[in-house]
Amino acid sequence: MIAKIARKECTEMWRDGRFRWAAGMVFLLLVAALLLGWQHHAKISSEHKTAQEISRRQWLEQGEKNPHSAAHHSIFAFKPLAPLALADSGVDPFAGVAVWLEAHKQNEAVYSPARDATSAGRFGQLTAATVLQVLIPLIIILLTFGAFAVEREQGTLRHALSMGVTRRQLAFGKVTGVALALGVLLAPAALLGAFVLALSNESAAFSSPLPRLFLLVLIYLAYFAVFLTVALAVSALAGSSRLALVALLAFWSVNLILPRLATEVSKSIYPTPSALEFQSAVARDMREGIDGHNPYDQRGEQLKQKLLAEYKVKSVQELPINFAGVALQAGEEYGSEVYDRRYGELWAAYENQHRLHTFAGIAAPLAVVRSLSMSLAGSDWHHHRHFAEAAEVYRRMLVKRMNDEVTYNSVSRDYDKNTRGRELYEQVPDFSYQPPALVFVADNQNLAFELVMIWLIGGAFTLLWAIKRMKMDAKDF
Amino acid sequence: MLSKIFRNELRRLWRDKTIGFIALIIFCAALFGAYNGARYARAQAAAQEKILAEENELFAKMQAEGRDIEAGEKTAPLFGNPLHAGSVGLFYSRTAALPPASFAFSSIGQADVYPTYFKVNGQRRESFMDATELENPTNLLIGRFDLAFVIIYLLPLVVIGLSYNLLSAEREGGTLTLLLAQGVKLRSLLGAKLSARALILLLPLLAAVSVAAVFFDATLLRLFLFGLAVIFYIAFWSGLAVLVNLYGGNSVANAVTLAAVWLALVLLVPTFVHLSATALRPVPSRLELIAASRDWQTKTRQPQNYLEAYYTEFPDRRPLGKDLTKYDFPLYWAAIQREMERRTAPVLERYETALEAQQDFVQTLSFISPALSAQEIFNDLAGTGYVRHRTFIEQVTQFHHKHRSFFEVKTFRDERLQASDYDRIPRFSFTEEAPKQFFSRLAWRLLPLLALMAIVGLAVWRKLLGKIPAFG
Repeated sequence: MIAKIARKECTEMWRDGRFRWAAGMVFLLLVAALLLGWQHHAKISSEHKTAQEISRRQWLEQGEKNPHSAAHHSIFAFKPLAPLALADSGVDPFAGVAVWLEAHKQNEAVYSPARDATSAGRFGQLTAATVLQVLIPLIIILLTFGAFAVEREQGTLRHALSMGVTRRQLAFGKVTGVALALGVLLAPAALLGAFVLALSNESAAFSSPLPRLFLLVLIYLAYFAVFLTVALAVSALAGSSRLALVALLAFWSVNLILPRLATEVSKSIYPTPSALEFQSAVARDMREGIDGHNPYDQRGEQLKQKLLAEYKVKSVQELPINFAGVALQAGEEYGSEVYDRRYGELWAAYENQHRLHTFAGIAAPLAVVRSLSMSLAGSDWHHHRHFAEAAEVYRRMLVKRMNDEVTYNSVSRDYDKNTRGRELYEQVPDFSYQPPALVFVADNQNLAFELVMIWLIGGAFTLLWAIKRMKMDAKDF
Repeated sequence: MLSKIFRNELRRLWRDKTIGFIALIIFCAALFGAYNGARYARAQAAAQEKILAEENELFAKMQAEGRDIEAGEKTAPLFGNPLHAGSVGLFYSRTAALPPASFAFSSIGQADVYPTYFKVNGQRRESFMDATELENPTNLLIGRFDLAFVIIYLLPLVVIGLSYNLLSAEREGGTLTLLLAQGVKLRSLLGAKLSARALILLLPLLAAVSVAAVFFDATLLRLFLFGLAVIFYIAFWSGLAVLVNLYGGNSVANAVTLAAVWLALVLLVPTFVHLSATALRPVPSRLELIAASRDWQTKTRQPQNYLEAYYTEFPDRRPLGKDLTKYDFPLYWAAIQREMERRTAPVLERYETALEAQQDFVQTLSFISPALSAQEIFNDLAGTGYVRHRTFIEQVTQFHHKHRSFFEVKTFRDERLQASDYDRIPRFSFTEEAPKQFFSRLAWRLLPLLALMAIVGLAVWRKLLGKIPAFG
């Protein structure tokens, strides 16, 4: 019986010229978004890869110089794009793409694409994710607002129920019917997406994106299921199809708008410093510490005395190691402490803001789905932070290596005469970023996954309850 | 007759309790949006003030130390000597900050993406112009809830919600033919209904903006232009609702059509414009810039050559009695910076030209989306758009030259600064656009919105003329 109802619903929908037209448009947009995303992804990926190779070459060819100077020149780290980012660009347009891993400084990633774009870019990106998050729910609403309401107005609802069809059968039938109609639209797009993904996964570093893709599909199916059940419930309860449509459109609009409110609230509850304030705070903290470059620095003097006592010699020249290197590394380690504290505070604030954004998902499922979609695609802030932290680990390793060369393997105590060359630079391994595993997403998105379950279950129960309470005749309102 | 319909319409709408609720929502949303914008602007101004105060303190301390050194009470340190022209000019920065404009509360715009400060020193431009603002990229992605957002995204939804069944409700209720039979002209009926709704929409908005203008910074000129833009924008959407109604569909069909149009004009079209702009007017990859300048750095082996080249160009600045082959980091660095800037100047020029071209392209295409047009106008009015940012960059570049020239001669001559020189170190102060120029530029920018409104108005008029009143 359910199958019969489903088939009838599906056929009716596909016969409706307006639905065919709308579905066609959305399908074209989805395909266009996937292809554009693929092309953009390929271009940017190869650019970053080339830039990383050039950076490594420049590191090796920088010539004879003091190892610490080499650490100042250092390399740039370029953020690789996750394979699924072609479907959901997430925060990539707004996050920097290149970090300079110089000595003494933990720099921010620079050159975000948004900085070289116009205000038109702030209206959104055309990605598969935006089509799925904004347009498909609208299609679902258009398909289902009249599912019960129109039948009631036409009188066929009581008719159907008098034929021995139970209310539940009717509900399940309609759910399945709409799902089938949508499936015709979405299945080819999903296949195209998987195909495009397979073609573009040239980056060996990224683990197979299939588990992530699978979860991504599940999340979106859950999102559509939520809209489906809520829309059917509203259709069952509303006094007229017009009221059902208006209510659902209002829900869809609030869905779009609420996340922005969450942004404002999160920023006022968990404020973050401006770049000026951040740099100022770091500079102040640094002044309290050791300045490795200043031979007249007070704390450097204390360190020197300590070392002289340890090696039981009277002057720096008698030390078996180069004190300059020790001072430089001490300054670097103090700097690392400062940055760990300051960035730690900043990132904790971002984490709290993220939690609040997800919380908005209680009233707007878009907030949850967007967050999960970005996370699974590897283009959210957590992945950006993961890259920044990996780059920092590499930077500290590189700088320590160079400073240790100065400390233990100096050919001369004179800074400018203590030069090394390519044979040293080659000993530092190339920067190779290891992206996080899938469990990384689970760790960061606990709340989001829970909210998805709540919405799914809530939607289902609401529909069942609505079906029970549904009035069968239009005159009953 | 008209005023009767108008009053009746108002009464009917008022009796529907949701209308009061909607008016309240508009008021609160607009005020909240303005508050968020003002908060952002205030935070920006406060941060700049604090930094400038710290900087002035630091320079005052350096000047005092310089005086002590000149008076012989202190010996000049080898490191961090406040009278060493090269070190002070190259490594101590003066912040050039873009203060929030008057009316900044109306739109946060691009202020969270374009940097609003630069720490200018004597080194080459790119070394400090890479500055980025610090913001959670998720916040940038989701977007801000400011007054511009309320007007561009929310108000059309309210207009649609109030007017989608303007005629169809009467038609479906059977009262349309009755009204028209009494000699009421269709256009008068529409006019009265629209005016009633416009009142409900614009009054709370006006109230919210007035409150905001009192508490936050706003000039009459900008308020006037803002008012015009809002009126054109709302008129566009109202006209669109009327047009859809005139096609005789039922309420449900109207609602669907209008929702689809909102989606297209507010979300899809601007996205397409952005796509076309980045595809047809691309900005060269910044990675190229990084690679090029670092390539040059990698290959530089003999900084003395650049130093020599400088002294060949300016022989009168050659320091007397100084052994130039002996390593003097600030001197070498100054020469290298000059050379690097000279080499990367054409590359940077290409970026700026490309960005300008992309911006012009978007500006031209804003004719096809009222939302994009309105956003650009609001950004401009709030001083958070491209034009003001561009002006800021130009003024910072000039300031950079001034700053460098101040220290340059003494740096290369290896002469000492004097403590009194500190009083003359250039300071940055942003010059706003002249009001007359601002007004004429923005009046031009209102043209796309006006054109769109006129096109819709024309379509409505033609439909009305062609309509047979009795058919309804």
